[in-house]
Amino acid sequence: MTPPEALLNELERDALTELVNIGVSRAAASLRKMVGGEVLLSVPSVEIIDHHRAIALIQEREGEDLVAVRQDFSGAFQGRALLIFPQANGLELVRAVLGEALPDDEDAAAMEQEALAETGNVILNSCLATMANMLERSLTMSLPQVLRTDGRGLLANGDTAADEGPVLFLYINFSVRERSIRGYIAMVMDLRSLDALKRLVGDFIDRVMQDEA
Amino acid sequence: MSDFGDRAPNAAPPAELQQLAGPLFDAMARSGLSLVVTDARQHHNPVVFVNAAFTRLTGYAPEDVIGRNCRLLQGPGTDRATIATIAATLREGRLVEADLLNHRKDGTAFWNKLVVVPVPGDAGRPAFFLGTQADVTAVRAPGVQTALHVHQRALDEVTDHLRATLSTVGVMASWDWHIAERRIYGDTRFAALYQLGRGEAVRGVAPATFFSIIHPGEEARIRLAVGGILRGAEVFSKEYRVVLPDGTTRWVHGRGRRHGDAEAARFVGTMVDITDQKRAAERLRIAQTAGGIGTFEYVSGFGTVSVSAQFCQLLGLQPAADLPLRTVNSVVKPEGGSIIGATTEAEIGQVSQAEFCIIRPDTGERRWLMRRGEFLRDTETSELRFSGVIYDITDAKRTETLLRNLNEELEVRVSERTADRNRLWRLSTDIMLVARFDGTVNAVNPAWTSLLGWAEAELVGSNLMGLVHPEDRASMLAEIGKLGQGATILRFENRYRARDGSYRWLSWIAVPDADLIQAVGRDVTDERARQAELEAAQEALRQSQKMEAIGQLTGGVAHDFNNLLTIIKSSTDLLRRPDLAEERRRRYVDAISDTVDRAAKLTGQLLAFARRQVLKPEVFDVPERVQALGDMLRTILGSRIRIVTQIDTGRCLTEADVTQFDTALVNMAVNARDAMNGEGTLRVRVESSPGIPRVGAQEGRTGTFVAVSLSDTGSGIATEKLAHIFEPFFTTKDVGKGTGLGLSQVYGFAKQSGGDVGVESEVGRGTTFTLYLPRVEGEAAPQAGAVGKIQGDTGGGLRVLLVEDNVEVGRFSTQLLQDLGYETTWAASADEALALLERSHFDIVFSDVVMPGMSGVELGKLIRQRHPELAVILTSGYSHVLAEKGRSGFGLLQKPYAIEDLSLVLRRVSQSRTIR
Repeated sequence: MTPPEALLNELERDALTELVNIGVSRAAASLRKMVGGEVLLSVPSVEIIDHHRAIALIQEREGEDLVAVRQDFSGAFQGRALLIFPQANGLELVRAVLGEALPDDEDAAAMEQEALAETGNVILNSCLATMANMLERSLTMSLPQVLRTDGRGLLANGDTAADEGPVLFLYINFSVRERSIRGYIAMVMDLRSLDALKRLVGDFIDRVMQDEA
Repeated sequence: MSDFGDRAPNAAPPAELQQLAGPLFDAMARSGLSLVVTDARQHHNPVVFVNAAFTRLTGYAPEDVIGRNCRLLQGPGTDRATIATIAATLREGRLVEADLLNHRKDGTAFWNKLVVVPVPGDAGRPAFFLGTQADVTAVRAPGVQTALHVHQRALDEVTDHLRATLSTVGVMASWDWHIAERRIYGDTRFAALYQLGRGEAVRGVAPATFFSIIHPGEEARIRLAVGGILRGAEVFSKEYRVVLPDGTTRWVHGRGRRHGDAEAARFVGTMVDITDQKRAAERLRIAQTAGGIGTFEYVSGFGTVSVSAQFCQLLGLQPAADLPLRTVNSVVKPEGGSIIGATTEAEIGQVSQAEFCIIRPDTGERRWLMRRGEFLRDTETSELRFSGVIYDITDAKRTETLLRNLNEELEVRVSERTADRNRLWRLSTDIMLVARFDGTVNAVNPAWTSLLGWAEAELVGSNLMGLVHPEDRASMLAEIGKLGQGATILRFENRYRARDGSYRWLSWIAVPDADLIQAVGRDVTDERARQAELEAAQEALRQSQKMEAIGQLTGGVAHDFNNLLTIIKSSTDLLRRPDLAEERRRRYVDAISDTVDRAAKLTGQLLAFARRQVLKPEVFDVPERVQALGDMLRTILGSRIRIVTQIDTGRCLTEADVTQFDTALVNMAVNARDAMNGEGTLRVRVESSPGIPRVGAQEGRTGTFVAVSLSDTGSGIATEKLAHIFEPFFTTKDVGKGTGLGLSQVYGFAKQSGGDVGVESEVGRGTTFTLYLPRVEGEAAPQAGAVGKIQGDTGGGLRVLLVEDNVEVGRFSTQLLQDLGYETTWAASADEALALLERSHFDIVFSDVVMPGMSGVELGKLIRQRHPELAVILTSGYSHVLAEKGRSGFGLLQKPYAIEDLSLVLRRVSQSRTIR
């Protein structure tokens, strides 16, 4: 079996990074409007790793307490997209988005849930929609869902076939109102979808190379 | 300025200014600060740009002031001196700051805090003046000084930023990419970098230009990144290579942002040369790789660690820039601790060092690592950072383990040795002892019991001295004294009393310790007995050898003596015969006399061998001596041996004992005779030699020598015997046939005389002995009387012309010469002699030196001229005459001379004539 990191070549990974970068930039623009302040998002790199490693990785890096916004997508390629934060960072993001005016009673939890879902939706939607747009395909997105669990709970879904599939793992830097927040975007796809993505990315590269030639 | 015509003329600053001042200008223009820009290159310095804040402050709209001089703000109250100062400072290209009373469009006056910065253009001369204005009228009133300062500081900051932007070191270029417009506006450095013509960068270039200098290997990557920006990505940050106009390749870091939306979107960025940093980083990487050092940086609380490639390599992980903390620590063996702990409880500056044993996930290999790190405060996040290095110490660890194992092994060996030693102690037949210096026994081994009968319990604690033979106690105390000084005792022997009262001889080896003596004793009683027996046997052997030697010597000497005695006996027997003729009788007497001389010589040889005889060295001519010995040799060798004498040199003097020389020659001749069994040829040769060749193991020598060699045609000597032939009593002859002293004498004589003896031999072919004697310069001693006696009728009919003025001497000498067998004619003067020489044939002229008329020396010289074949012998009683005149090479006989002397001189002359 081909090692997951070899599924995409370096240029393809670069292209994918840029696609996500375009996506998160759009998301940042949307967040700016929401927040009314400076928001910067960037994705320094993309990793493609197998499922088990992805679970291990996220657990090793961030421990057990994770919060994630999940949206499934289908179309030319299909899978799940996850915006993952350590719990503490999730709250930080909500504070950044809502400003300091966060109520301190139990409403806060509900509000946080709401804010997370909204923020996650903005980011993931922008990301996936932009990617689809750039790849000249369309994607259908499910409604956002907030999850609080560990890495296994986030990435596993009981479907053994999917468990064997690769995960597109993106480290994402947020800077919202001068707060530094780190998180991840994980795109869980089966090999068939990844193949489709690979072809589309190849076409995208060809188009970019034609820019201003 | 007309080249910004396609944009709103009154709202936008000139592109050239933007390009010179960079993006910061935009920020300034949009800030609330009043801004005015004039074109410094036009002589009336027209205003080319004002911002909205300017209009708010002065009431002048852009269209009111663009193209005009700023003078329009001045009025009657404006200080002319301040204006002159401003103008002068700006001409020098320096920033100027002044408070000036100005007027608004509506005529109201206000205090204008004016700051003007020259913006340098291509040639370094100011292209623009950029001025900021602030209404400080209110400030001029007391009480608002603080507000003024705040603004002042803000103003200063802006100004500083602008200047910093303009002169940032290392910035290669900056650009402003108008995405919808598809134009890139660059600054002068951009123009230079892309080799754009003057004004081209200001007017804008096509986006394709952007990629034209990028290294082909990087182009696709950068196109992708730029493509992302063009499609909406916001952040551009890439390191890549560019090829400069001169062909060199540099690393740059391009950073930029996408600003604005949709149609107004711009991609503004800068390129910074990072070649040096790249090289430094590369060098660091190489150094880390070569040194096998991995680096890491961990910010407390994070789940990941930033690591170097070498770090991953050392841990056996896939290379990555960031590794999960858990992954890093999972390589450590269970219970082995954490390479990087998630601690937050560390002090700044604290250094932590630890060793870890890891199992490499890739190979399963066990390695040891050293981790060394320091806790630092992160400057950006003020979080705690743990920064450090790891390196492999497996080899050192292995060595350490090896050493430890070795040490343990040594301990095992030591205990084994100890066990061995204990066995030795128990089983040894030698007695072993540990005692104090006062003789008290500390420990003994079981051999004491078996050898001497004493039980261990009887010995330990007792004093050794009680067991030592009374006669040996003193020496024993002396030896213990030596041990006390640290010496080791080897083979010291003394007697110990056994339990049965007998004494055993023990041979001791003892070494001193700090306060104890360790000793091993061997029973040598039997050995000593055997030794005594051996010594007795050896003594007997020596005695018998001595007897054998004496037997040989006496046998040899007896043989020689018997020969001699035979001659004497038969001569005396013959002498008893009554009818013996007088002449015969004399001969027998002579023979007896000769034989006695030879016997004396024989004893002399023995004495010489015994080195008891004092040598009497004198200078003599060797060839002459050898010839003189010719007859004697003939006598010794007998008639069946032919003698061939060969003299290959003229006079050749040496200084040695003549008698010994003769003896040596005789000994060599006798040896030759015996080797030839009395039959063969003996070649005697005399020659001058430039040195002594190598003889056996002896090195050769250089110098002038005379060599006398005797070669026989005998049996030869085997090589293995050659080395011994000069040893005393060495003989190959039967007992009684020779003394074995002959060659030894030759050897001793040669060595004593500063010469040597050489021998060459071939079995079956013969042997050559060569006697080397050092040559000397000078006069030969008179040989008269040295050797020889009157030897009967040796004259051999030679004709002698006697020249003598004294009648009586003449008559006596004539008689004498005739008796010696010479045919003699007497001349009374030199003249008479010369006359006689003309008439008759003579062999020898025997002349007195001192004569009336012509002297003997003058006569000799004349004869040498006229009759060179003739031998001349001079005689004189007055040696002073000869001392004055010299004998001119003639033979000389000192008066008064004995008859033997005369005979000898004549014979020598006649022999040399024969040979000549």
